[in-house]
Amino acid sequence: MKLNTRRAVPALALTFTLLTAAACGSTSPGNDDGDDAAGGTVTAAGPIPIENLDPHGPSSMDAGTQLAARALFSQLVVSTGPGEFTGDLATGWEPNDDTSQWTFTLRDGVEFSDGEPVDADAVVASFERVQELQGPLAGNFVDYQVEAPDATTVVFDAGKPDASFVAKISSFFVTPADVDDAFFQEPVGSGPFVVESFTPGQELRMTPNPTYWDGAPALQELVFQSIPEVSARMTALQTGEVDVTWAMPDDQIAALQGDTSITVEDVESPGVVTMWMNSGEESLEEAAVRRALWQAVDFDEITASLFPETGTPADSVVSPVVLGYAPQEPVAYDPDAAKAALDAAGFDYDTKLRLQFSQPQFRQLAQAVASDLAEIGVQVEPLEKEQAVFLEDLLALKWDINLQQVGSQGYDAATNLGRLYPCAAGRTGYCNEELDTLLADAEATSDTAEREDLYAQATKIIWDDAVGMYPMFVGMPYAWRTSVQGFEPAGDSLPYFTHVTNSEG
Amino acid sequence: MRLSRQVGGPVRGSAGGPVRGSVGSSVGAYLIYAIIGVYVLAAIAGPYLVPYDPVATVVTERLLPPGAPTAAGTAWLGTDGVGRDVLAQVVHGARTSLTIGVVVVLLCSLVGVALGAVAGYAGGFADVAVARTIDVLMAFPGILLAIVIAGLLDRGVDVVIIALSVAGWIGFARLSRSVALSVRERDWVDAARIMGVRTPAVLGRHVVPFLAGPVVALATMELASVVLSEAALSFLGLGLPPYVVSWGQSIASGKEYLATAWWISAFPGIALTVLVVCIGLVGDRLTKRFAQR
Repeated sequence: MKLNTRRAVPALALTFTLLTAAACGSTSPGNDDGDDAAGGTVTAAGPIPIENLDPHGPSSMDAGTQLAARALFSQLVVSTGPGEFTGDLATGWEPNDDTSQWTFTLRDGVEFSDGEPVDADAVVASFERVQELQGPLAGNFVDYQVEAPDATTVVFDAGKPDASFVAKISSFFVTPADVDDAFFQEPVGSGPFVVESFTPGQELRMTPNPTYWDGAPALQELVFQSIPEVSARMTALQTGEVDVTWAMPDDQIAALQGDTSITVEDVESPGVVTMWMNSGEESLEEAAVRRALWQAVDFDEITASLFPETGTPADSVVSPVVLGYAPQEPVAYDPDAAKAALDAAGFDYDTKLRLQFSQPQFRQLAQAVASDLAEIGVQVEPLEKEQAVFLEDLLALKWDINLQQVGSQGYDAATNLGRLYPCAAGRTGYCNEELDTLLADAEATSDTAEREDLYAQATKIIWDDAVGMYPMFVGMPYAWRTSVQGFEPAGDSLPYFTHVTNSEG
Repeated sequence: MRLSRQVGGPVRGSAGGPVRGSVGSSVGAYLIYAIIGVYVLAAIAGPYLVPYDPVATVVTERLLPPGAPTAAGTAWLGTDGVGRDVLAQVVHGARTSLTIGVVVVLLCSLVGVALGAVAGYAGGFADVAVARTIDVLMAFPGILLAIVIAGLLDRGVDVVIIALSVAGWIGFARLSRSVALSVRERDWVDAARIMGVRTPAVLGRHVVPFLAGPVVALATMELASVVLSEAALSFLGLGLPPYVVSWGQSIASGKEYLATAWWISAFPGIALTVLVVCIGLVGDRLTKRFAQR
C-alpha cells in the first residue's frame, strides 16, 4: 500500500466531476430540428474526445485533434492508400534524385476564412512552428530545413534521403503565420469548415467555410460530440441524437446491424493490435522466451470470439493496406511446446509480467491473454491505465507487455517500422544492428520495389525475434444513419465530412 | 432495586414493547434472518462449493444466457464477457462484501465508541477535541472521502477498509458521546465515583454497557451502507484489484451489455440489493427496540 500520486489527479478529477454533475444536472445538446436547409446538420461522435485544436503542438498526433484539423485546416497532401496521395493545398510534388529534397507546388488562390492568402510563407511558418513545439509530429521532421523560393513553391530539405516524406507530411496542417495558443480556441483555417463554438473535450460546432477553394460544403452545420460511454454513444446513434459514429466494439455491432435506419460498414485499416514484449527486461531478454509466450496464447480463438466483426488473425507487423507489408509464417498455438521452450530457457515462473493497456476495448483481450498464459504457469497482471499515465509509462518502458493498436500514418511502413523499431527510438526495448541498417536503407531508397523488399526483410527479423506478439489486424467499423448521404468511411478512423449531407437533420 | 438492576447492564426488551408485533411481522422477521443466513452461509461455504478463478477465461463460452450448458457444467446465471460464470461471481462476491463490511463496522464501532464514550464522560478538552473533529469530518460526504483516499492509494482490500473507515466511525462516536453525556449524570455513576472507583473502571462497568444496544442497532445500518459503498468504489474501478471478485466490479463489467446480456449486471445487482435491504430492515427493528428503552 504505497502512495500513488499519479492517480491522485484522476481521483480528484472524478470527485469534482461527480460534484459538478450532481450540481448542474445534464444539459442536453440542442438537436436543432428547425433547420430546413438543403444540407442539414450532421452530428458525429468519434471514440476519442477533441481536447485541443492546435495541429502543431503536443496533441498534433492525437486522433481527436487530427479529426478536427481535417475539417478546419488544409493539408498539403491527403493519403488515400498505400503509396497513394492526392493533392489538397499542393497541386504537385517532386523529389530530387536522392529524395533528400522535396519541392511542393501550391494551389493558386486559396484563402484562409479571414481572406488572407494561403501562400508559401504560411506553409513555412506552420512547418517551423511544428519543429519549434517539439510535439509528436515533429519527430518525423528532425533537422529539416524549409524555404519558400516564391509564393507558390515550398522546398523541404531533409539533409539526408527520405523516400517516405510525402506520407509523413500528410499529417501536417497549414495555419496562418504568427499564431498562439489563444488563436486555437476559435482558429481561422482554410479547410471546408469554420469553428462556431468549441468546448474542449465535449463539443466542436462548425459551419461551412464560404470561401473554401473546392466550394463550400452543403451541410448547414457539423458537430463533433464526445460521448465517452460506449453504450450511451450507441443509444445516441439509434435515437438519432448522433448521425455518424465509428470504432464501436464488436459486441455492439450486431445490435446496430439489426437496425434498418443505420448503415454499418467495416473498412480495412492500417491498424494492427501490437503487444510488444519488453526485451530490455531480464525475463524477456531471450527471443526464445518471447516466442514461447506468443505460442502459448490461442489468438485465433480469442480473435474469433472477442472480435468476430473487425478482427482477422495477423500475419505481419504492418497491415496489408500499408506499403511494406510482407506476410510471415503464422505462429501456431502450442502450449506444450511453449512450456518446454520456457523450461529450456530457464524462465523464472515467479516473475509477474505487467501487461499494460489503456483502451477499454482491450480489457477482455488482456484478460484472455493472462488466462492463456496462466495455463502454462506464467503470471500476467493486466493493468488498465489512464491514457496520460499509459503514455508516460510506455515511453519510459515501464512495462513487460504493452498492448495497443499501432497504425501506419500515411499507409507507409516508414511511419511504423522506421519510427518505432530502430535502437535509437528506444520504444520496444529491442535493439538489433542488422535491423537498424535495413530500416535506414529503406528510408534512403526512392525505388518502391526495393523499399518493399527491405521492409520485408526487416519484418522477418521483427517477426522471428518476436519483438512483440502481433495477434490481429483490425478493421474499422463505421455506422451512420441512412439519412446521411455522401459519407465515406476512412480506414485511418479520421473521416472527412466535406461532401456529406443529411436529409433529416 | 432499580439501581442494582441497571448497574448490571441495560434493561433488555421491556415487557409489552412494540417489538413482538403481529404474527405476520414475526414471520417476516424470520424470513429476513433466513435470507441473511443464506448470505452468510454463501460467504463462508460457497467458495468451496462453487470454484472460481478470476484469471481463467473461456472466450468461446462468453455471454451465454442463464442455464446454458458449458464445458464445466451449467452456467445457471449465465456467463460474462470473457466466459466466466456469473453465479460463481455472485457467491465469491458475497464473501468479499461481507468480510469488508464486518471488518469496517468492527473497526468503526471500536474507534467510535472509545472516542465518543471518553469524550462524553470526561467532558472538557477531550470533548471539545472529539466533537470538533466530528464536525469537520461531517462537512465531507463519506463516499467522497472514500473516493479520494481509494484514488490516492494503490488498489487493495486494506485500502478499501481504510477508505471506508475514515468517515464511518463518526456515527458511532456521536451516538456514544450523547449516551455517555446522559449516563454520567445518573445516580449510580455518582455513587461509583464517590466510592472511589477509578475512572476507566466507571467507564467500562457503568457507562459502556448502556451503549451496547444502540451501537448494535447502528452497526447493522452501517453494515448495509458499507456493503453499498464498497460496491460503489469497485464499480468506479477505485477499490479492489481485479483479482478480488466483487459485486461492484461484476456490475461494472456488464454495463456495456445491459441491452444484450442483462444477466452480467443484473444478478450481482439483485444480490447486493437484497442483502442491503435485509440488513437495513434488521437495523430498523433493532433501532426501534433500543429507542424504546
